[in-house]
Amino acid sequence: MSTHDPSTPTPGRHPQRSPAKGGERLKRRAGDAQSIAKALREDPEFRDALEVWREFPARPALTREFPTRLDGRLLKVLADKGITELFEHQARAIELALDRKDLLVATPTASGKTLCYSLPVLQALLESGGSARALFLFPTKALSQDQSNSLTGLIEALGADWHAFTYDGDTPPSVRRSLRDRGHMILTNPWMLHSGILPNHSKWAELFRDLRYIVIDEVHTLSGVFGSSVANVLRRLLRIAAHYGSHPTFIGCSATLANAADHGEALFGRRPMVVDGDGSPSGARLFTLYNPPMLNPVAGLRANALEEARKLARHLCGPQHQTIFFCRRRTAVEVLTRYLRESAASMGLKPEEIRGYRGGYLPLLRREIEADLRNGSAKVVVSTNALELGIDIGSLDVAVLVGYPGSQASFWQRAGRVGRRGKPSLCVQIAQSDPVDQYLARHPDYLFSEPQQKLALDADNLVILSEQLKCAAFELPFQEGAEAGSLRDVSYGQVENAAEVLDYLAEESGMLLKRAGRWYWMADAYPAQDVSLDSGEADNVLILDVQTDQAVGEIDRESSITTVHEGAIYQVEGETWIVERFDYKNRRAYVRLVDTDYFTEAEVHTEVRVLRLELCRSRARDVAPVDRPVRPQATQSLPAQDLPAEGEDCSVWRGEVHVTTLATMFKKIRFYTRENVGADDISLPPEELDTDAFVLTLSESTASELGLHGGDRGAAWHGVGHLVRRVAPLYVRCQPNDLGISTQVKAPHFNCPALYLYDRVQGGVGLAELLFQGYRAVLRAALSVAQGCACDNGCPACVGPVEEVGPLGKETAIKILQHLVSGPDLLEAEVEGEELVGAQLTTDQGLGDSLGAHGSASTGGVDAESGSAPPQAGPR
Amino acid sequence: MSFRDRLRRLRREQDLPRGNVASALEGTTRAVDSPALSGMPAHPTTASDKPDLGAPKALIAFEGPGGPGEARVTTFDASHRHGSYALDEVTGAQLDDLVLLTGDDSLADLDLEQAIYLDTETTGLSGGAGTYVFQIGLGRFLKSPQGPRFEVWQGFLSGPEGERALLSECARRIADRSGVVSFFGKSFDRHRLEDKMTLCGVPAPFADRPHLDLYHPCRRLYRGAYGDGRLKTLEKELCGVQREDDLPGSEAPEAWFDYLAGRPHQLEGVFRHNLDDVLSLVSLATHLGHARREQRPDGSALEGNPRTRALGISRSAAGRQNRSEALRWIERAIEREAQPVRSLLRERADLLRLDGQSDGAVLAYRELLAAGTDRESVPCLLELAKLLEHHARDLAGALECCRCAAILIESQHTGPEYARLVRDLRKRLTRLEKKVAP
Repeated sequence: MSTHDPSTPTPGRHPQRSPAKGGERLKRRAGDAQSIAKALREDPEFRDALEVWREFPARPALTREFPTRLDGRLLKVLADKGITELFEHQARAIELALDRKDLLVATPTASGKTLCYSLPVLQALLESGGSARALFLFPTKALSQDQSNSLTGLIEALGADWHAFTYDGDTPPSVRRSLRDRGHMILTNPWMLHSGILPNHSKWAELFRDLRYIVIDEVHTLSGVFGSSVANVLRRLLRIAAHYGSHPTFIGCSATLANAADHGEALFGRRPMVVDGDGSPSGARLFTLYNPPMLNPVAGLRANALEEARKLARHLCGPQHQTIFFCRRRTAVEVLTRYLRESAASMGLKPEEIRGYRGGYLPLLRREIEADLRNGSAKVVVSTNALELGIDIGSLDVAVLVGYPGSQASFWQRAGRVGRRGKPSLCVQIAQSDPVDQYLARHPDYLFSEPQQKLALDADNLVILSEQLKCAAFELPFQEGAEAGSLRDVSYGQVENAAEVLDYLAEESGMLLKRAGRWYWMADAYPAQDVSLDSGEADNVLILDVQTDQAVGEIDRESSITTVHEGAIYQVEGETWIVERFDYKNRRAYVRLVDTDYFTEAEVHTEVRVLRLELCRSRARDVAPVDRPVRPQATQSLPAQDLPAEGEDCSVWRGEVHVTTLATMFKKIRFYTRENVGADDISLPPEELDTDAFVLTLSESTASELGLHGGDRGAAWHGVGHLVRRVAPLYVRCQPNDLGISTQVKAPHFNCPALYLYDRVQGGVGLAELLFQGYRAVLRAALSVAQGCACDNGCPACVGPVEEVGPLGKETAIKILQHLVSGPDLLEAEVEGEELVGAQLTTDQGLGDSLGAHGSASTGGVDAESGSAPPQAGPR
Repeated sequence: MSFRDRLRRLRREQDLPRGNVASALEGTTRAVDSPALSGMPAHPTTASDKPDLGAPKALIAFEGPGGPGEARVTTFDASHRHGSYALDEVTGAQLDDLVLLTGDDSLADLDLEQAIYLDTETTGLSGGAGTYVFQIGLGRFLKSPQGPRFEVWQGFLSGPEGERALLSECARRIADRSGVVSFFGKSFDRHRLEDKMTLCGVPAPFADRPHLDLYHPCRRLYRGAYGDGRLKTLEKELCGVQREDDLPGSEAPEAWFDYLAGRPHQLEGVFRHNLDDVLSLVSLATHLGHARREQRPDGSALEGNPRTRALGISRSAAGRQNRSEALRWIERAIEREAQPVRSLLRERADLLRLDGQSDGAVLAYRELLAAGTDRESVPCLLELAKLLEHHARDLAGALECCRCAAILIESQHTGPEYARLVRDLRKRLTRLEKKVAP
C-alpha cells in the first residue's frame, strides 16, 4: 500500500513540525489524543460531565489504480505530485464521470473530492483538444478562489494553454470578456449564474457550445428555498446548454446525506449515481460528549458551553498538537479566542499561536491563518462554520464543538477536520441547554449512525417555479408540446404545471406573450435582477441602523412582525439593538444599538386553516385499523371537516394550510433569569401564509384519557408542539425557525386537538412531506428529551418553561408522546378529495379568539453563519 | 379551486382584478404590495390620450437568408435636406476630422457614401437574451436611374418568431457595405445585435468593418454645451433638425408590446422616430466632418458652440500626441472666451511644456498665474519653478515661485493629495535656498 495521501496533491503540505520552542514545553504537555483523553477522564472537575465516550479504530486507505482511460500526461502530472493511485471512492467517481454519468460524491471533508472532478474535466479537455468546457459552482468566493488556484496548478503542470477563471462580483468588467471567450473552466456561484451568466448566455456561447461537466460543490448546503431556487437555475442552465447543443454531466460533491440520491435527483432533475464509502485513511478516533453541569433545574439551565470550553482548553490545547474549536456564532469566536489567548501561557502556548477565524475577516488574513494551520505554526484555531467548508487547512488533532452545529452533516464536516494523518484524534462535543443537544447527550449513537437528516427541496414550489420560469422565458422562449398543456422543453417538459404557470404569466401578469405555440418574454425588464435565490419572496424587511443607515440585517416577511416591531430588541451576534421605527409598508426597520439586560418576546395569535389535505395515516383505539366513515356534510360555519372516525386514536396528515399570524403584544424578559420586566402592545397587520403542513390529531377520547383536559389542556399540547418543532431538525435538515407551530385543542377542521407544523415558506419547500414520512422518529426524540430532562416541571430545554406549560404540562406532554410512539404504526388512510378552500378564504377574516392558538416568538439571536442557506447578499 | 386561483393566491396576487393583473398597475408607480410584481415596470403604460396610430402601413415582404420578413423602405433624393444639411453633403466630410475626433485610425478607410447608417429600437436597455431588437433602421446611399438616392430600410419584427429572418437580413445588408455609422452603436446597438445573432445562429457582420460612433466625438466637442448629449438634442443644436410629434424612444417598447397584444398602439410613431434617427446620423456625420473647417458646405459658419468645440478638438489632438494641432485649437479656445479661463490657460501651458517650448511655457504659466491664484495654482507654480530653475536659469524667480506656493499651501486648507506636493516643494525650497545662498 502506498504511503501517499491522494487527497493532497500539493507536496510538502505537512512539513515537519517547527522545532520545539523549548524542551520544557515538550516534556510538560503530551500531544496525542489518547493522553489528552486520559487526562480528561482523570480530572475530577470534568470526568462526571463527560457522559459519553466512544472509540473508533484506525481505518486504512482503500486504494485503486487509476482508471485505464486516463491520459498518460495526466498520470505523469499526478505522479510528479506523489499521487500514484486513487482512493476507492475517487476511482469510482472518476470512472462514472468519464462515462458521462451524473454523480454525487457524498463523503466527508478532506476525503479528496477535488480529484473526483478535476481529473474528468482535464481528461475531457485532453480528449477534445481543448474544446471541452466545465462550469463549477461553489457556495463561497473563497472556495472558488482556492479551487481555481489548484486547477490552474494542474493545467500548468500539464503545460496546456487552458484557463480556469473565477467569475464573481469581484471580477472587473474589463476582464470579463476575455474570461468568457477564453475560460475553459469557469468557477462561479449560483447567484452569478442566475443573474449574470444565464440571462446573457449569448455572450457565454463559447462556454455552452461544448459544456461537458457541471461541478457543484457542497451540495448539502443546497436545500430549502435556496436549494429549490438553485434546482431551477440548473434547469435553466440545461436548457441553455441544450440550445447550444451540449448535454453536460453533473458532478456533485456533498457531505454524507441520508437521502443523497433523492436529493441529487431533486436538485439536478436527473437521478445521480451516489458515490459514498470514504476510501481515505483515518487514524483512530476518540469521541466524547461533555454535558455541562445543571445550574438551575427549574429553568433547565446548564453551565455556559463557551465558559466550559475555556476550562476544558487547558487539557485540549498544547504546543505539540493542533486544536480547532467550532462555535455557533461569530461573537463566540471572538470571545473564546480572547479567553484562550489570555490563558495561553498556562497551556504552553504563545498568544499568537491561537487564532480566530470567521466570515468577515479580510481574505488576506484568512489565507494567512489557513497557511499557518497547514504548516503547523498555528496551534489553536477558533472558528465558525467558515472552516467547515472545503478550505484546505490540513488535518488537525483535536476538534471541540461548542454546541451541536444543528445538522449531522455539519457535525461530520467539523469532526472531519481532525484525524486524517493516520494519527489518533479526539473530538469533544460540548452540549448546550437545547433540546437537540440534550437528545444527543443521551443518544450519541445518532451521530455515528447512517445519516438521518433528510434535505428538503421542492423545485416545483409554485412561487419559486413561477418566478424562475420568468427568468427562463427571458433566456429562451418556451415551446408548447404536442399535447395540450404540455411543454417541449429539455428541463421543464416534465415539470408539472409549468405550462399552466406560463399561461398565467402570459394572461394575467402580461409578462409573456403566447404566440403560435410559444411563450415569449415580453416586458422591458431583466427578471433575474428581481428574483432572489435566497428567499422565495422579494419582500424581506431590511434592518437599518438609524445612525448610519447601514444595513444590520434582514428578516423574512413572516418573522418581521414578531422580531422588528417597534420596541423589539433585535439581537445580532450578541449585540442588542432596539427597534425605533418599523416602516411596514416600505419593508424597513430602523434600529439603534443599545445596551439592554432584557430581550423581547412577542405574543402571537396564529390561526391555521386547513385548505386541502393530501395524505393521511391513522390508527384505531383498538388494534385493528378503522374504516374512516364518510364525513358529515359541511355545515355553514365549518364548511368542511375531517372529523375523527369512530374509534379513532390518532392521525397524521400532510396538506395545505393558510396561516394567519397576528402579533398582539410583547414582553420584556431579563436575560438569564427570564424575569418579566414589562410589556407593550404591537399594532401591525397580520401576516398571511399559504404553505404545506404536517398535522397531528388526537381523537377527543384519546385526548381526555391522556389528561388533555382542564385548564392546562392547551398548554401541555402546546408544550408537545414546541418540543417537536425543536427536535425536528434531527431528522429534517432545517433550523427550528424554518418551521412554524400551531396547536389547537379543538381544531375547527378536525373537531379535536390538532398540532400543525408548517413550512414557513410561501408554498412550502418539502419540510412537511419529510415530517410526514419521519414523524415517528421525531416524536420518539421529543419523548426522550422530555423524559430525560432534569428539570422539575418543564423548562426551555424540553417542553417549555413551567410558566407557559403549567404545573402538569410536562407530565401530560410526556404522557401524550409516550402514547404516540408506543403501539402500532399508523396506516395509510383515505383523504376526502374535496377542495376545502374557495371564496370563503379571504384575508380580512377575523382571527378566532377562542380557537386561535397562541404561541410566542422570541427575538433570539441569529445563529451566525450556520444557516443552511447562505446570507441574502451572497458572494456577488 | 382552480390551479390559477391557487397560483394567484400563492403569488399573493389575489387582490388584483382577474383577467389582467397588470392592468391594475396602470397609471400607478407601484400599486400593489406584491413581490412578484415589484420591480416590474407598470405595463401596459401606453397613455390613452394619444390616438391609436393603427397598424404600420406600407410594409413590404422580404425574403432574406433566414426566411421571410417585413420591412418598410423609404427613399429620399440624395439632396433631401434633413435639418440644415442635404444628405449628400456628407461626401464633403473630412475623414481626418473623424479620425482625430474618435481616435480611431480605422475610420481613415471609411467611405461615408458606402457605409450603412444603423439605428435600432429594442425592448429594453438592460440587454440580456430576453431583450428584442424589434426594429432595425439601415440607411444607405444608392445610385438609381433617377439619380442618387438615400434609402432607409426599416426591418420590423412583426412577431418574436421572426427574429432569425430579420437578423439575418440585417446582417446581410450590413455585410454588403464597407462601414457602419451609428449613434452610441458601438456600446449598444452592436452588442444587442451581436447577442441576438449569436442566439439565433446568424454570423455577426461587425468585426473588421470601420464603425463611426457619433456619440463620443459629439460629447468631446460639445460636452457642457448641450447637457444630456442625446441625439435629439444634438441634431437640433448642430443640424437644425426639428422633429414633430416625436415618440420618445423610451415609449418604443410599450408600443411594440401593445401592438403584439392587439391593444391600441403607437407603433407608427416608432417607425417615424427610427427614420428620423437614421437621417440624423447622416446630418451629424456631415457636421462632424466639417468640425475643423468650422464652416458648413455652403461656407457659412458651422453650428454648435465654438468654444467647447475648439477645446474638444484640442484635447482630441493632444490625446493623439498631435501637440501642434492641440496648441492651435487651445489658442482658439482661449481667444473665444470673453475672460481668461484658468483651466484653458493651464492646458495651454502644460501643452507648451510637454512640447518642449520652454520659453512659451514660462510665459503661459505666468499668464495663468496672473489670472489669479489659489491652491489649484500650486502644481503650476512648481512646474514654473522647474522651468525657471533648469531652463531659464532664473533661480531667484524659481525660489519666488516656490515661496509663493508654500504660502498658498499654508494659507489654505489642503487635503491629503497635497502631501506629495508639499514634500516636493520642501525639497525644492531647500535646494534652491542652498543654491541661491552664496
